[in-house]
Amino acid sequence: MKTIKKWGYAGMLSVLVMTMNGCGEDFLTRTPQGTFSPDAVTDARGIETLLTGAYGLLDGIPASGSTWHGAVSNWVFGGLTSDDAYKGTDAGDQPEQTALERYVWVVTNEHVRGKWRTLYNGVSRTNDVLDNLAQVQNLDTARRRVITAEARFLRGFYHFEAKKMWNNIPYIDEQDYNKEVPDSAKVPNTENAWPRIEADFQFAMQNLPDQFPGEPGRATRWAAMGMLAKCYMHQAFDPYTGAPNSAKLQQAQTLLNQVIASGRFALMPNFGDNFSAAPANRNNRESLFEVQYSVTSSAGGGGGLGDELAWPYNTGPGGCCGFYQPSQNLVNAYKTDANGLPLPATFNNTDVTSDQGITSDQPFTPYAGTLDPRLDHTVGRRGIPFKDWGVHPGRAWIRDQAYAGPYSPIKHIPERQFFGVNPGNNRLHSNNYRYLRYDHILLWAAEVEVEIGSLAKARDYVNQIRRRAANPDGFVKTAAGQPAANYVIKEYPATSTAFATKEAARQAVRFENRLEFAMEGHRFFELVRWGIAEPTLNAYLTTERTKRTYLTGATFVKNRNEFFPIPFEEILNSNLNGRPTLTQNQGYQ
Amino acid sequence: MAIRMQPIVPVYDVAGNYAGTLGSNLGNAKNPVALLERAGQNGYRDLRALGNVYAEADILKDFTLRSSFGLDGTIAYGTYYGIPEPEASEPVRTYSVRKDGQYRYSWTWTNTLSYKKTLASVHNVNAFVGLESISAFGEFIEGFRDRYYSGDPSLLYLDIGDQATQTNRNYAFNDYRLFSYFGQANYSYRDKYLFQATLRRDASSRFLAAQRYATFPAVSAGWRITGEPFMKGISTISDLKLRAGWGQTGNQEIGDYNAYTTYAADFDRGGYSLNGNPNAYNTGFAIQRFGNPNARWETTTSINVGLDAGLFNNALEVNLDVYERKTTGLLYTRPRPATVGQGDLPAENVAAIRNRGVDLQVSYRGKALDNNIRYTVTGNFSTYRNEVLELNPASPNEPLLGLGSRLPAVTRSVVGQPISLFCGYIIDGIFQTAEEAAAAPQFPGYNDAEVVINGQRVKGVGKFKYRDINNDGQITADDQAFIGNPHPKFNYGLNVSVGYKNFDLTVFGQGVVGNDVFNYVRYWTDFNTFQGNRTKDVLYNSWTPENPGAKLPILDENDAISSRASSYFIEKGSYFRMRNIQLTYSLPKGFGSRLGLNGGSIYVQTTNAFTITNYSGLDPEITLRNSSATGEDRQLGVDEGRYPTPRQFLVGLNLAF
Repeated sequence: MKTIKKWGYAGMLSVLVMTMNGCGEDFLTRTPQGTFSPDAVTDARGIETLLTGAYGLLDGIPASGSTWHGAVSNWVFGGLTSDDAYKGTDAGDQPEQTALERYVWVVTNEHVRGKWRTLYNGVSRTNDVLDNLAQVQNLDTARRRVITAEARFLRGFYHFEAKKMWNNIPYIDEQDYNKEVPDSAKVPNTENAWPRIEADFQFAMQNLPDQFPGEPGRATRWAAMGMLAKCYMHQAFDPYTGAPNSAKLQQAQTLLNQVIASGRFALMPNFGDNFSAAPANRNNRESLFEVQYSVTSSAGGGGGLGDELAWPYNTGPGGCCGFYQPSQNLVNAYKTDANGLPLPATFNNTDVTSDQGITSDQPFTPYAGTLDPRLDHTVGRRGIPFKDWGVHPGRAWIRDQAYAGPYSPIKHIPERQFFGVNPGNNRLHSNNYRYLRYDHILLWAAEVEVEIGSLAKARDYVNQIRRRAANPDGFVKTAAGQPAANYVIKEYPATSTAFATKEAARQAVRFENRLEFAMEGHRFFELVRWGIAEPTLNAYLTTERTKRTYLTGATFVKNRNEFFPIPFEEILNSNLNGRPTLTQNQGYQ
Repeated sequence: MAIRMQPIVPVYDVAGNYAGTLGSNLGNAKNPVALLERAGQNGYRDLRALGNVYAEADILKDFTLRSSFGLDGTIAYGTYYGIPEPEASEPVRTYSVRKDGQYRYSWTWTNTLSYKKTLASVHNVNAFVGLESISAFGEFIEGFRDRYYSGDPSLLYLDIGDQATQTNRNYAFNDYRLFSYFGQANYSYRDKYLFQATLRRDASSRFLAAQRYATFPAVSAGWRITGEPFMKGISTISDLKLRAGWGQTGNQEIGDYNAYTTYAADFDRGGYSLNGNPNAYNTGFAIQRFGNPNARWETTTSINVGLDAGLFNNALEVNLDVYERKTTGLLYTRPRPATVGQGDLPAENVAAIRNRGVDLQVSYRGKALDNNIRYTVTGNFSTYRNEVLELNPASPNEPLLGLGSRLPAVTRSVVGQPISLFCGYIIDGIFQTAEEAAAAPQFPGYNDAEVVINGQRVKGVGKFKYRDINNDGQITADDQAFIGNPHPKFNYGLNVSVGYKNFDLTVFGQGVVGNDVFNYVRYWTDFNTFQGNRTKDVLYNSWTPENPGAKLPILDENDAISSRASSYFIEKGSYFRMRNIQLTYSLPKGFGSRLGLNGGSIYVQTTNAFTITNYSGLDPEITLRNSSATGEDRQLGVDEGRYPTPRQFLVGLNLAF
C-alpha cells in the first residue's frame, strides 16, 4: 500500500507538471477546421478563386435565404411590377409579390430586402478581391491589371443593378470596405453614384481583353463598353419628366457606334436562339454579356434557381409553381396590322382571344388574327407548341386561371432535352440569362438616333431587329412544320409615318423594345428610364383590372413608385454613432 | 403541417392512397399522416462510451492529491430516406438515401490537492486547489444518392443509387478546449458561522490569446441563527439560517470558431461557370463567417441574500432568496448591415443587462387522521425584472434587433427596457366608414386602397385602424412601438403529496402569470399568406357591414399589410399546467422475499394532464427556435408553432432485488 501511495505521489506530481506545461497556448488554440482562412485568398491561386466567387453572385443566388428575391432575371422587380406580367399562380402564394404588383411598396417588404442583400453581397465580394489583391505576391502585372478590371466590372454591375432599383444607393469601394470592420460598410446614400459606377466600367473597358478564349463567362472589354452605354442610357431621360439629356445620349452614341462598327456581334438568325439552352445557343455571337447558368446532378444551387417559381404548373414543364404569368396587355401588344406592323396606339382596344374560362378538355381554337411571331417565344399559350415540350394544353398548366389568366412564361424555360438534370430540384437549368445582347445595342442606338440623330438611321436599326424576327425559320412551328399561328411581320417602309416625326419614332422604338425584351425583367426599369412609368402603368391598370379583379384599387404613385424603398431593417442596421447612415427614398418616409 | 393543411383534404383518397394538395388552390402543406409514415423508416443509432478513472493519494497529513480522467465518446450512424409524394403540390418525386455518421468525444482531466482539518473540534477548515483541462472534438460525414430504382428496402444502400446524383459532406462540428485553475476555501465555526471563498481562472479556446483568460472570484457567508444560545428557548423555530453571497461567473457559449473569418468554396456560395460549361462550375471562394477576434468572456456578477427557516420541528420550511445579477459584456450576435456582405455573424460583447428577482419556497409536511394520512405541500414563487443597462456605447440609440423570418424581426431591445420586447404597430379597431378611413392618418396602399362592399367601391372600410404614434399624419415604419413584453410578472408552482398506507399520490402543477406571447402562427392561419388551413375567425370574425365588431379586417385578397407585426398578434401568455399526477402503490414489506424481492412499487402517472390558459395557440409554453444557439433571448415568447408538449400516460413497476 505504501509503495503504491509513493508511486501515485510521484506520478501525480509529474501529471501536475505536465498539465501546467500542456496548457500553454498550443493546447488552447483551435483554428477552424475544414474551412479556408483569409490567408488562402492572398496568393495567386487564391485571388483567382476569390474572383470566381465574385462572379458567383451574378445569377443573384445568395448563399442562403429566399433565392427568388435576388434573381438577376428580375422577374419580380422588373416583370410583375410592369405591364408585362402578373404575379401569377394563385392569390395566396407570396403575398409580398402581390403587394409589389399593386405598388403597395412597404419599407419592410422582404423581397426588396433580399435583393438589396444579394447585390451588396456582390459588391462586398468584389471589394474583397481588390482589397486582397494588393497583398498578393507572385502575380504578373498584366494579370493583376485584368483581375482589377474584372473586379471593377463586377462592382460596377452590382452597383448598377442597385442604382436601377433604389436610385439613392451607397457606393462602396475597396477604400471604404474592410470585412473585419462592420462599420466600414456604413456608407451614406446621398451622393449620386453614377459617376463612380461609370468609372468602374471605364476602367474595365480600358483594361479588359476583347475575349477570354475558353472562358466565355468572364466580362470582356465589350461587355464593359455595353454596360457603360447602358449606364448612359439610364441617364438619357429624366425618370420623372422624360426630358432627354443630350450629353448622356451623345456619350452613349459614341460607345454604341463603336460596338456596331466592330463587327464582332450579330443577331442570331432566329429570335428564339436567345432563349435556348442548346450549347450552340449559349454564349452566342449576339451576346455581349451572358450570366452563366450551370447545373449539375448533385449540387443544389445556381442555374436559374432564382426563377424556380416562375414555371408552368401541374402537368406543365417543371410542374411548379405557376408564377410570372404574362398579361393580356402584353399578348395584345403582339398584334400586327395587315402590313405586318405593330399597333402602338390601339393594340389594347381588343383582346387577342384566349382560353380563359375553358378547361383543357373543352375545344378551343387559337386566335386567328395577325401576330408578331415573337409572341410565341415570349408567352406560352394554349394550342401553341411550348418549345419541345408539346402543345400548351391551356388550363392544365395554369394554377388558377380565374385569378391570373391563361398564359405561361416561356423565355427562360429550357428545352425539355436539357431539363431535369438535378433530381432534387428539376427546375435548375443551364439556359443562360442573356443580360446584354446585340439587339439591346441596336435598339439603344435607335433611341439615340431618334433624340439626337437621324430618324432614318433609327428606322434602319429597328428594321434589323424586325428582319430577324421575320425570319420564317425562327417561327414557332406545329408538328407538321407549319407556322403555329398567323404570323405577319414586316419592316417599316421608308414611307412609314411611324418614323415621320420624332414623337412617332420614339413611340415606335420603345414599342419595339417591349416586343423584343418582354418577360426578361427589363420592362419596369425601361418605363422608369424613359420617364413614362406613371402614365403607362396607370393606363395599364385601368384596363387590366377589368380582367384581373385583384388589381382593383392598385395605383402607381408618381414621385414614389419610380424607385423601391430602402429596406427598413437596413436603415436600422446602418446606424453609426446613433444615427442611420442611410436615408429613405422619397414617398416612403 | 397539420395546422396548415386545409381541412377539405382527406387523409386518404377513394383509392386508398394518401390524399394531398395537388388539386388547385390547396396550398403546399403536406399530408401529415403520410409524412409520419414515410419518415417511419428513418433511423439513428449511436454507441456511447463513458468512463472515469482516478487515483488518489494522501500525501501529507490532512492533504489529499487526486487526479481524475474522464472520457465521453460517441459514434453515431443515421439513415434517412426520400420517398415520392405523388399527392403533394410541391412533391418529392424520387427515392433517395442519405446516410450520415459522426464521432465526437470529450475528455476532462482534473487534478486537485485538498486539505481538511478540524481544530479544537469547533473550527472546520477544508480547502482545495486544482487544475482542469477539457478537450472536445466532433466530426460529421454524410453521403447521399438519388433516383433509386424503387423503394424496396433491400435496395436502399448508397452504392446502387444514381452515381451522378451523389453528394457528400464532412465537417467538424465540435472543437474546443478549456483550461482552469481553481481554488476554494471553506471555514465553519461550530457549524454556526460558515464562510466560503472561491477563485477560478478560466481559459477558453473560443477566445483569442489576448482575451482568453478571465478570473471569477466568489465569496459567501452563512449564519445559523438557531445555533446561538439566545435562540435556545424558542422552540417553534427549529432551524434558521441567513445566507449572503457575492460572486462572478463566466459564459463562453459562442461557437468554437467565433474569432475567425473563414471562406467556403461550395457551389451554392461561390461557384460560377467561367468556362461556360452548362454542367459544371469553377470553384469560387465566398465568405462563410465573419470573425470577431475581440470577443471576451461574458461576466455575470451576482449578489444574493437568503433565508432558510424551519418551524415546528421543521414541519414548515421556508426558503427565501433575493438576488441581483448583472451581466456585462453580454455575448450576442448583432445584425450587421448587408453592405458588409453575407456570412455567419459572430457573437460580440454588446450589452449589459440586469436581472433582479425573488425566489420563495414554502413547504409544509404533516400527518392527519391518526397518522394514517401523511402529506407534504410545497409552493414556490419567483419573479424577476430584467433591464438592458447598456448597448453599443458608440451608438446608444441603436436597438438590438431580433431574428427576422417571414416577418422582419419582431423583437427589439433598447436601453432602459427589458430585453427583447415585441415591436409592431398598434391597432385601434377597424374602420367602419370610408369617411372615417379618409380622415385617419394615411397608410399608403392600405387604407387608401379600394375594396368592394355590396358592389360599391370604397376605400379603407373594414381595414385595421393603425395608430399614428409620431403624429405625422401618416402610418410609416416609425409608428412601430413596443407592443408586448415576453417577461412574466411571476412564476409559481405547487406540489402536493398525500400518502395513505401503501398508497402515495403526488400532484405537481406550475404556472406563469403576466407575460405576453407573440402568436406568430396567426400570420399563417389568420391572414392571406400561403394557402392552407385557416382559423374559424377568418370565416366568422372578419369584418363585414353586418359584423362591425369583428376581430379581423375585411377579407381582401390584395391585403398584404394587415399581417404585419402588430398588436393583433399579442396575447396574454399566462397559464397553469398540471405537469404531473402520480399514484404509487408500494409493495408490502416481505412481499416476494422468497423470490429475492426486496421492495417494489407499482405506479400510474400522467404528465401534462391539463392546462388552464386563455392563450389561443397550441401551447403557451413557448419553445424556442434553436435553444442551443447564442442570442436565443432574441426570440423570447415568439410562438412559431413548435411541437406542443405531449400528454403522457405511464404505468410502471419498480422492483428491487
